[in-house]
Order: sequence, then C-alpha cells, then structure tokens
Amino acid sequence: MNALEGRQISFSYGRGKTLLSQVDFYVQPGECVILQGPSGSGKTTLCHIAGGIIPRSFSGDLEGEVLLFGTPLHSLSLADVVKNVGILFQNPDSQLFFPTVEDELAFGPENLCLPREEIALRIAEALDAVEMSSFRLVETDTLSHGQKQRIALAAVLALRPRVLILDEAFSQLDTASTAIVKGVLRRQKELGQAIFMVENGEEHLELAERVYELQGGQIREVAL
Amino acid sequence: MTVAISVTDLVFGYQKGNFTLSCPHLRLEQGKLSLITGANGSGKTTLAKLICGILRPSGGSVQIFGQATSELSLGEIGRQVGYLFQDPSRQLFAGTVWKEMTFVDHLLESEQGTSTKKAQDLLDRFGLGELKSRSIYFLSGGEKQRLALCTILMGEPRFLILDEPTVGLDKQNRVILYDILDDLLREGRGIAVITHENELIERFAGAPQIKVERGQVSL
Amino acid sequence: MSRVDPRVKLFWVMLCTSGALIFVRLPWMAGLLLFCRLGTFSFGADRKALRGRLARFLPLFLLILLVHIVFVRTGTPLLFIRKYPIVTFDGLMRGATTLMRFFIILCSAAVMAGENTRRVLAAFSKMKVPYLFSFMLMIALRFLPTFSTSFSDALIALQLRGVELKRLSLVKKLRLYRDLLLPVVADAVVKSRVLAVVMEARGFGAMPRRTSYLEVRMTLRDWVLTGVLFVLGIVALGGYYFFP
Repeated sequence: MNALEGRQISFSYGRGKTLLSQVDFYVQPGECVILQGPSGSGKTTLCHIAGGIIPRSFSGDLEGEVLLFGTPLHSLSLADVVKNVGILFQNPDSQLFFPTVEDELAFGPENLCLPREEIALRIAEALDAVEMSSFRLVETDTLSHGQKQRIALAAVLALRPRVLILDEAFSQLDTASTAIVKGVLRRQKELGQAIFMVENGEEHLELAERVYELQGGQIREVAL
Repeated sequence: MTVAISVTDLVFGYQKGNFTLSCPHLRLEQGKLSLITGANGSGKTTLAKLICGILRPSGGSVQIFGQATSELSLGEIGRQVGYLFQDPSRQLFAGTVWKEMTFVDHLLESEQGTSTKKAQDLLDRFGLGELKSRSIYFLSGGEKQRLALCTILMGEPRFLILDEPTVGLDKQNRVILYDILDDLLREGRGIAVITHENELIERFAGAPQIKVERGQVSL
Repeated sequence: MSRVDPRVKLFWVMLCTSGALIFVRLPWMAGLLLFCRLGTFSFGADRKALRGRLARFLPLFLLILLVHIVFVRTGTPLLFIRKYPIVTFDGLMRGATTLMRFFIILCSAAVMAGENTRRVLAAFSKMKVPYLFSFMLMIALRFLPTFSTSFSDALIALQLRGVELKRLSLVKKLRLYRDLLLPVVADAVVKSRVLAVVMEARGFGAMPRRTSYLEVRMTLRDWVLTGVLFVLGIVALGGYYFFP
C-alpha cells in the first residue's frame, strides 16, 4: 500500500488560472520522492494539498483526493493526520514560536495529549536525531539559522510521523546542517517512513528513489 | 587609501540584559570589501547598527568619512552609508516595487525627472525591471533583498553594510548576490558584509576579516 | 521567592489591580502601593522593562497630575496667584491617587511579564482555562512587541534613505505614519496566518484538551501565601468600607 498518494488532483486559487491539473503521484513506505519544478509551478501548493493544509487552512478549488495509507485524507480527523504526516517548511523562523527548544518540541506531543513521560522520551529522541541534545534548554532566539531548522525538524519528528513532507527545507541550510538533515532522512527511510520533498538542487538527488517534475500544472516522473 | 569608517574606543551596552560590545579600534577601507564574522549573538549586528547610527554608543566614537556620527542625523548618515537589514522585508513598505523605489520622492514631493530614470536603471540592473507593478508581498526572498538594495542605492551611499545577506537565500540567489557585490566594488563603493556562513567567507577569501566574539571586536 | 506558582502571582495581581480600581482615598492607595512594591520585589518582576515603561509613560503621568490639579476645584486652596487659587488640596490628592493607581497596575503587570510564558500557560491549563484562550493571549503578547519593532524599523530604514523626519511638516508626518501603518498591519496578518498553519500542522486544536509537559505544582508555601493574600484582601475590603 502506498503511504501517500494523490489521485487526479486539480487545483486553482479562486478564479485564477489552474495551477495543478489532474496530478497523480505516490510515495511508498521507506521511499524518498523528490518533486522538482520551476518557481511558481505549484510545488508548495502540492505540498500543502498532500499535507492537508489545503483545504483545511487555505481555500481554493480542489478536485481529486489524497490517500494516506489508503484512507482519504479528508475523512480523517486533524489528530489522525498529524500523527501520520509531518511537514517541514522553508523558513525556520516562522516555525518556532516558543522561548526554548524544549518548549518547542513539547508543543506537538502536548497537542496529542500524550502523557508527560512519553513527551520527555520523544523530546530526547528527536533532539538526538538532529544531534542537538545539548541544546535542550537553550533559547531558540540564540540559535543559528541551520540550528533553528534542525530544531524545527526535531519538532516534527517528535510527533513520529510515518510520512514526512519537506517544502524546500534544505534551501537555506549551511553545509554542516545539510549533512545532518540528510542523515536524519536516511535513517527515517530505513525505519520505513515515506518522504516527499520539494527540492531543486542536484545535490539532493542522492537521497531519492524517484523524482517527479511539475511544470505547467502537469506532473511527470523523470528518470534518475 | 581612504578610510570610510573608523571606530575608536567604542563601548555599548543594551538596557536590557548584560550584553556589552567593545571595539577599541576599527578601520574599514573605501573601495574594498570587509567581512565581519562571528557566531550568532556575538554582536555583529549591534556593531553595524552602531556604525549606521541606529544605535548610539555609550562611549567612544564612530566616524564615517571623517565626520563623527554623533553630530549627524540618521538622514545624513544614510546618504553616506547604506544598511541592508538581515530581513529586507523590514525596510520595504510601499506596496509595489515601483512605489517603493519612488517613495522618498513622493514623500518629499521633489523633482522626479532624473530620479525616475535612476530608479528604472537600478531595477533593470538588478533584474527587477519586469516586476515594477508587482506587489512587494509577492516577491521572493532574493527579489526582496535586491529591491531593498535598489532603494538604498537610490540615495547613492558611498559605503554599504549588508547584514547576513546570504541567510534565507537559495544557491541560485546567493550566486546572484556575489556577482552584485563584485559589481558594486567595481563602482568603487566600500562594502562591509556581516556573515557567519563559510561559503561567503571563502568566496571573498582575500578580504580583511573583522571577528566579533562575545561582544569583543578584533581584527 | 521567584519560583512562586504563577497562580499565586495571578491572584496577587488580581488583588492589586482590583484594589487600585476600588480605592479612591489616598491613604488606602498609598498602602496598596507599598503592598504592591513589596510584591514586585519578592516575586521577581521584569524590572528593566518596568523602568522603561515608567519612563515612557512619564509625560502621560505628569499630564494626568496636571489635569487633576487644574480641574478639581474643591478643597482647601494651597497655592494662589493674585488671590486666584491654582492648586487645591483635593486636586493634589486626586492627582496623586490616580498616579498611584497607574503605577500599581504597571507594577503588577511587570510581575507577570517576568514570569516564564510556559509556566503561565501550564498554570492556566491547571485552572481549567480553555487552552485556545490562553494561547491566544500568549500569541498576542508575543506579537505586540514585533508590531512596534517593525514600525520603528520602517522609520529607521526611511531615515537612512535620506529622509529627515524632523524636517517634515506635521501633515506629511501624519501621512507618512498612515502609509507605514498599513504594511505593518499587513505584515502582521501574513505572519499570523503562517503561524496558524504551522501550529495546526503540529496538531494544535486537534483535541479538546492538551497535556502540559511542564508541570506547575502548588507547594505548601504557595497555599499558605494564597491564604494570607485572601485574608488580607477581605480585611482590606472590609476595612475600606466600614472605617471610612
């Protein structure tokens, strides 16, 4: 069964031109799929649809459906979606909103009403994954850009999602942080998690099993 | 050699918190690129803001082209030294690209003949010529940064200070930025770039480096 | 003492502010002011922020004092200019009382500002305050300062483009402020939408309740303190009404 699958997805923002037309895609467990395309081609929009942000938070004319392990996304509760799909966005500054790293990581598990002991465990585990265990009590304001993005990733990992969506999450990272985040993604793949990421750089193709290209509203799979 | 910026016995402390910055001696040359490096929170931005007069020192002095900043207004400093914020959207506010470029002229109701041409030339040179009527909210990070640079260059400052200009830029936009820096240097402007990213430091490897560490500025 | 439970501090703030609003007689207000200062010292207020705020409100304070002195005409005249009474006893008293009222409110707010946001959120959740409400409050408090920074940043950037603010006429200045306000608000709206998306993507609002990793516990000392504050509050209120 596919971890994440889009069927015949068409989308437009209101009366504007159609941004996506009849887009099909899928990601299997343990697989990393990269989505490429010129800027403005609708990559971010497709990420938002795949993660349920459209139509939950942003509106527009959406057709077709997204399946999460075979179940239509729209029939799932927010809690069920969040337990299964984690999304990492481009700008770390807009993803962190608590004073300290620990607060930031606790936020997601708290929303899912996990008990304290479990939250403590998940914070430790997620920080370890991004190699920032010693930063637990540090104020996020004092972190570098790359460190912030790693904390944002850890905050997503603390929810233990089975599907990870990354929207140009690498584009602002320095070399050291890029290497660490890549390591995290490789380990996630080994654990059987599915990864769907928007990234244009050649240097990220090594992570991918398959590559899609989005252009003029159409999607096609390209050879690696 | 012309000294653009010279700092002597500078001391500064924020009201909140116990951070202090001290810079006993610093010279930045005109027509060259200097790098101001150091970790996050070390005081690089504070130093830049002191040079531009956004912050006023508690002790010591800053001179730009021989004049003490303590005797200049922000407007007078701005005509000599341009400052690009780390987040350029903080210095954009006029709605569209073109309105942004002509904002000051409109405000002061000054003659617009020559400055209109200047604005157009600058936009063309920075690859924004086609985006004149675009809303600033629909610009990418790189485009916003280039627009902010254009608005600064409208005032023709001789020296530019750029605060972490590579942060938030993808590879393609970073390359464009480096070319712009080369271009500005060829025009004879002085530039100080604040950064903690190795790529930029390596790109301008020959440039003098000023290190800021926990509020201490050293060469 | 700074690790006093946020709930006790909230209770103390409630006492101080309601006292400040109820009392009109100077000696009572002065007493409350003393009580309030005692609190700011022992609870660990954000003193630097308080000092800054006091400095900013100083002109307003002086204006309030002046208004009272000029417009309250009852009471024993204290200062004359050619037989015309300028300052009366009542005017001075009322002015002073109002000043103290503002001062008390600022001080008690500073105590909450000195408290860790997460502890306050945890305390709210223990008090069964709906988390949507307490988060709204926290986010508003975090956004307000960014609001004023982005406005002042825009002003600084504009001056660095060569505009001498001081030389602008009042009309132009007002027009400029109006022009700057719109993008600042638009920016805040965009940021808050992004924040909403990010928070939701991490499960905010998924369940009717949420747990708190950070625990705040009322210690014996906290309970005793609450009791003492409660008794003090009752005694003060009774005293104020029964012994004028």
